[in-house]
Amino acid sequence: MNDTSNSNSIKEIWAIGGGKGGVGKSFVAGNLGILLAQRGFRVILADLDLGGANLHTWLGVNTPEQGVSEFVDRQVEQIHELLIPTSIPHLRLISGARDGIEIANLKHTQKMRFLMALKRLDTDFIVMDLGAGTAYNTIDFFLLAEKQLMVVIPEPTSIENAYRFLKNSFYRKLRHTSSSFGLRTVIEQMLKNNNSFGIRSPRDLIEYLRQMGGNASTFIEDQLEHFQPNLIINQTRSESDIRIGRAMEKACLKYFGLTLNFSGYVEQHEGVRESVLRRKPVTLDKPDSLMSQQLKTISENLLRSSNLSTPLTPVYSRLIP
Amino acid sequence: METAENYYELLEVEASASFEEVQKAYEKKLEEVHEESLAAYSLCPVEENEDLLRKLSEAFMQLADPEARRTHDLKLESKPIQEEISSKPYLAPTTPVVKTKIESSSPSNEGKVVFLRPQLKTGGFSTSTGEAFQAKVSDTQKPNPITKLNRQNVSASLEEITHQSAKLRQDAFQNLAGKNKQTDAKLQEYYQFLEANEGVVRYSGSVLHQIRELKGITIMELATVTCVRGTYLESIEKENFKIFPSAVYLKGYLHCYLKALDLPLDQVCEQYMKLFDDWQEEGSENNSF
Repeated sequence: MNDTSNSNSIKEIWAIGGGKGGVGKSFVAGNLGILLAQRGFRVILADLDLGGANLHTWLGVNTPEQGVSEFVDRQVEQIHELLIPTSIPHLRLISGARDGIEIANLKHTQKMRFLMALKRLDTDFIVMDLGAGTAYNTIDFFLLAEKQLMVVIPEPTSIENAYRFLKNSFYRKLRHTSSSFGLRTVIEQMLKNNNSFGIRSPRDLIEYLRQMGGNASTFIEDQLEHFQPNLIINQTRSESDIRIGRAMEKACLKYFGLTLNFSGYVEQHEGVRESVLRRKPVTLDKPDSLMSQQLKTISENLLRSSNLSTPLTPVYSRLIP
Repeated sequence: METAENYYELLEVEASASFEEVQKAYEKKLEEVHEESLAAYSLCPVEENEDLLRKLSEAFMQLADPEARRTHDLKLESKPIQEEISSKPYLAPTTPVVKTKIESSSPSNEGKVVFLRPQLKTGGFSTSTGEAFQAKVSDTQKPNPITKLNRQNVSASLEEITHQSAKLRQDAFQNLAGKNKQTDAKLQEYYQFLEANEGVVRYSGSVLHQIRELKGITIMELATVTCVRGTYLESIEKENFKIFPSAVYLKGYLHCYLKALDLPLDQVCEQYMKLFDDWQEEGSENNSF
């Protein structure tokens, strides 16, 4: 399929982030992509973890010749030239495997060009594997998506990183959208560390804006309604680990004032490692396994959910460098 | 008159709950606190969970001692309390304490008591005869209170412990309270020994072990009173942290251990949990991505 100028062809963009490396973002992204394709949707998997690109490995595709770096460098002018077919019908890959430039270090103009091109692709779904970290560029790709997914393992370091990623994403979103409400300056002030408003957490900020009333109150309610990321717990080992999902929803609301949606979990299982070593995704290698069933449940929950985060689609040109 | 704390509500059990039900409720609460503190990691101030854990272990220990439970129930009903209440009701003996010489107290105290020099980092023990502090007691008994028979009981199942009769538990609480009271002087001597040699009293696993030994209290006796498995209690003394599912469980069991030995909760917990934090940090450095 060639690149067309039909910018309305994409149903949804899904972004898989979460802050910490090694928790299974590529595992989840790759398998979700496959599950969507098996339902007949046209899917493009985009590996944006340029420093540690391995979606191609998860999918059993040989290291591609061209990837995001070549597009960013302008060695490749048209994004559709990057599309690599996979053994799965309807599923194509954009690889980050020849990493010349890290996505975290993309210049603003490079990022804009890539985002615009991505949005113009003729497909039903784009599933982006964002990689680790909370750099602005990583977060901006996260904010681009209609369905924002965070993958977490039930350990303190991963959970801490996820909350940091969530907070940074929310604040970044506020910075991007505050100008259209005429609140740019005051929001910038409030987001500073040790600000004079006494705002130390997202919850403080939300309550302050609510109390301000008027435009400020409308602004924050609008932002909250359209920022509802999904949570996936990977590598669970017990019932207790699974319950962490709901517990995180409650904790996030209580301490951050933000809505998190627990969308499912995947058990830790030796079978996953076996599939990885065979370079076959678990949904293909062991489709009847518990993990595959759990991934399927997650994909169904996500497809069904109506809690869509509003992507920053209309405001590309105003993305802050 | 301040309202008495309702420990049944805190543990979410009926007032008529059996000991087994109370124990299960405590374990369930530990699990909840563990999950909540993990889910809110980096969001929730650490003190919130500390306070809750303290309250939960306080509630459990009070309801585990039949005598203390009666006191608690009476307070709830706001009836006048007839018997004399000591400052630590759940470990107070109801029979008057007879002042005895150390040599003639319970058999486990007649063993030769040697203050082993604790190795603070490794948690092991060494005997430094030149600096060892020895109490003059009979040489006929072996010092180790954990006999072969008791060792089998150390890994007694929770079911075995919870099914012990209320009378047996009550006796155990009273016995423990007696031993705590009788060995106060010995404990002070030990603290002085530590201060002389280490400069300060630092509560490590081996120091806790030494304190328990000089009080003549066995792991089995502690397990009966606290309803914490002997293997966990031993692991506290050996600083074998990997056996505990998380810090919450370690703290919960440590609270019970300290209450039973009548040791200062805040001071000991703060020092001891630092050892756990150091161990965790070492572990994550070795496993870093």
